[in-house]
Amino acid sequence: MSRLELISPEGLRIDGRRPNELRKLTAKVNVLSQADGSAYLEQGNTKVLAAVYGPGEPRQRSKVVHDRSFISVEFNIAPFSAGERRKRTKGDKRSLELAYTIKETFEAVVITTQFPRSQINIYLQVLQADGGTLPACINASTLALVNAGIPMLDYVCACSAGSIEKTPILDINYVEESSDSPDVTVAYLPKVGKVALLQMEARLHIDVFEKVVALGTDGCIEMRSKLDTVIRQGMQQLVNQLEQ
Amino acid sequence: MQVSTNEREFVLEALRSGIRVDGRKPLGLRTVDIDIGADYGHVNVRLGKTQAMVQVMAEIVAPYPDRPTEGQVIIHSELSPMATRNESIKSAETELTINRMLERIIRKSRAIETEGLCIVAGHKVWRIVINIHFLDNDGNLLDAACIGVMAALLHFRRPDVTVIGQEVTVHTIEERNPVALSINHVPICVSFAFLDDGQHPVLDPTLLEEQLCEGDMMIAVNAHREICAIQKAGGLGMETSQLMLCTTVALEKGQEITEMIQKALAEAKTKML
Amino acid sequence: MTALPELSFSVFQRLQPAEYQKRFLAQHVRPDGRGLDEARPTALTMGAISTADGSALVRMGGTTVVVGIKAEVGVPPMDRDNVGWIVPNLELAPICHPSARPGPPSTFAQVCSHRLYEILINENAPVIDLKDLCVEQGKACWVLHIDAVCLALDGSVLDAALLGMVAALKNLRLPEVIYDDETVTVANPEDGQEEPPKTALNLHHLPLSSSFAIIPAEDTRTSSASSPHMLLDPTTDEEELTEQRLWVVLDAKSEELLCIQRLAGWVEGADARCTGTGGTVSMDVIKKAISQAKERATYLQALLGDF
Repeated sequence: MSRLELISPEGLRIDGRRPNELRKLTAKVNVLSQADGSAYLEQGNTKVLAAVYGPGEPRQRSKVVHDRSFISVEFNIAPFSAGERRKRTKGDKRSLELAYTIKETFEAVVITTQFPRSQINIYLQVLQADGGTLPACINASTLALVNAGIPMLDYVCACSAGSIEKTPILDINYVEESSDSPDVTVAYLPKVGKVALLQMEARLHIDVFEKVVALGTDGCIEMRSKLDTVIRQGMQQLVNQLEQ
Repeated sequence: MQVSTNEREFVLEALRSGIRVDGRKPLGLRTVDIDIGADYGHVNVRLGKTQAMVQVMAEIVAPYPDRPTEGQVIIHSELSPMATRNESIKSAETELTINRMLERIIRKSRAIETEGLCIVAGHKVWRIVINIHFLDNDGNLLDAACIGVMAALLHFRRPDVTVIGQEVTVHTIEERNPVALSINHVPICVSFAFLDDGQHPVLDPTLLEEQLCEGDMMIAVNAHREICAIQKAGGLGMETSQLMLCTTVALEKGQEITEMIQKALAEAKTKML
Repeated sequence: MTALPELSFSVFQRLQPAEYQKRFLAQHVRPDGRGLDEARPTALTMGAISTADGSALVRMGGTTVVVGIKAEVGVPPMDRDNVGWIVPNLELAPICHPSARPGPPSTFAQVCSHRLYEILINENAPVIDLKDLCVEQGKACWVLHIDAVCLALDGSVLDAALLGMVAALKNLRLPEVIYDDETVTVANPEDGQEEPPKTALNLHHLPLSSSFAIIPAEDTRTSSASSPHMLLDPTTDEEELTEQRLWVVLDAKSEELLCIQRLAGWVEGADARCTGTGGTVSMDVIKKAISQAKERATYLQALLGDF
């Protein structure tokens, strides 16, 4: 395969973005009637649907924790979501790990001690994958959890970042992700000012790493205002409906 | 088995005065004992009381259709029930996390030059199978496994082959000197646990500390001051400054461990001669 | 006799779902304000998923289904070497309904997938000619994986899935394939400067379906005869009220009846006689269902665009 030029001499990326530019984000809450909270999120061409059910009675008695609720995450990826059709969409290691990572992240941020002996279910459905599945899923889960009225320390805002030819880039897409560029995912709690999740693949020099993490964190802060707007819009819509 | 309140308080109180229950400093490593076996690619690692056995094997297989010129690296890890007293529900998740993390450290960071494992493009390549058995679990399985795997990979020799056209002849070790793998770099994993509301990071946590911790982080580094993988999920959030502190410590400890591996390999070499 | 405490209607709905529905039906109206023969607003978006070769998004009231088709080159079946394969599948993801469980597909989902398969490849009125999928006789053919993912479930999921599958097939564009000495090359848009031409499939028949929930009218004092209530496009709540459900599939092109199905068994072809057990459905009801399904099919056909 010919080597793609991921950054043009003018400093623009393959999809025309600047290195520190997020992809277009559109999101909506309250998209499912059955769920307690739900959100649909498009981050560039990555499309994710999230639903939250609960807190409710746990399905598995053995998992009950006496002083708080536990979170279970089901991650599902549509067979037609990526370039190649996925043969097995459930139970492969990658999906399991993704679900586990999301669960771990939210168990620390959701104030679970408010709901002892209960279960919160987060269901994630990826409809189209164009890089940054994990951050998109985390952002969508945040929206759905807020929509369900579940108390959290802060919005968990996630963003991926990478580095091409020593230029740190924000919010990487599929082409950039598969080009051996390092792939860093940061989930940040902007109000608290702490990192909730950090994951990295491939090699990155320590000096560049600091820059990439800083860029990713900035992306998360920007993401927060975007997510907040979505939540407020959803709320406004509800208020309008009530007034009518 | 849960930790009693007394025990928890004891550990935390000690930590607040800057010492750990086993006498280490918060950022100290337990004794590392790398025992290189008689066979190529067979290594036993002891990290304090944690024990892991690593075995590396090579076999000839057909390559993946989308990567016809690359060899394969497969990692299996098994946390045997005899290794720990807690037959907790977490053991499947622990296994999954360790396996995925090792794949990231070794495969994604391209520690092994996979193109060097190609025999006949599109038909035959080497598959390196890494088996890890955890024999005793006293915390920090991942670091022990990573040390073991890297030592085993450096020690491993695969049989030499001659290729004439499509014909492949494998020479036994007696016939010809076996060939070492080409290793691009040596990633070393360093784990931290955060105790006492995340205020006290401890390096190389024991099982007791792992049970008490509110969050953990694993950083894989190499001698070129590069970070090869990071995983931190769950637990309390962490400030970026603390993160950078941990990476610096990880780089330093990574260096130490790399030297230990080199030393153990050199000793094994002299013993063989 | 003491008067029952006053119940708010949402409490009443929770405690006595059946009675709640029946009170509405007695007035010939449904809880969501629809008439009995009225379907929910239906919306169709074609080409919603850019990673799929053909796709469609269907919304029928609270039921949402996304269908994506992935085309792969495969080998024709041993017994018929000049045809391709289609593999339709309906997935009820755990996200769609509180009752859906994660894990392997439920019996219901498997039954639905099979029904959809039978309709799509119906020997008398197949949607696409499987021969059109043949690339090289006995050597190569297209395999169409038609995956429908239900994102929200509120009744009549088969109708939404079938409409979505037909729409996705209409939306499908197959890249050009060159068969040359045992190797198959799919024209790749990344290689050339211009996107190579892609072909659409010919849709020969257009099966479109309607679901009905049939609820026996109990109140014999007021109703003229005891003709049951027929609810077109039922919601989950309405489906749960009755065991008697009809699924009517019509070919919108030829206006032929392709299939009527009761829960208890199959009745195929125009000669519709019900052989099911557990209550009978009169011919009147079936005739009425067919005529309503015809209207509905015409409406859905318009959504699909001109043919």
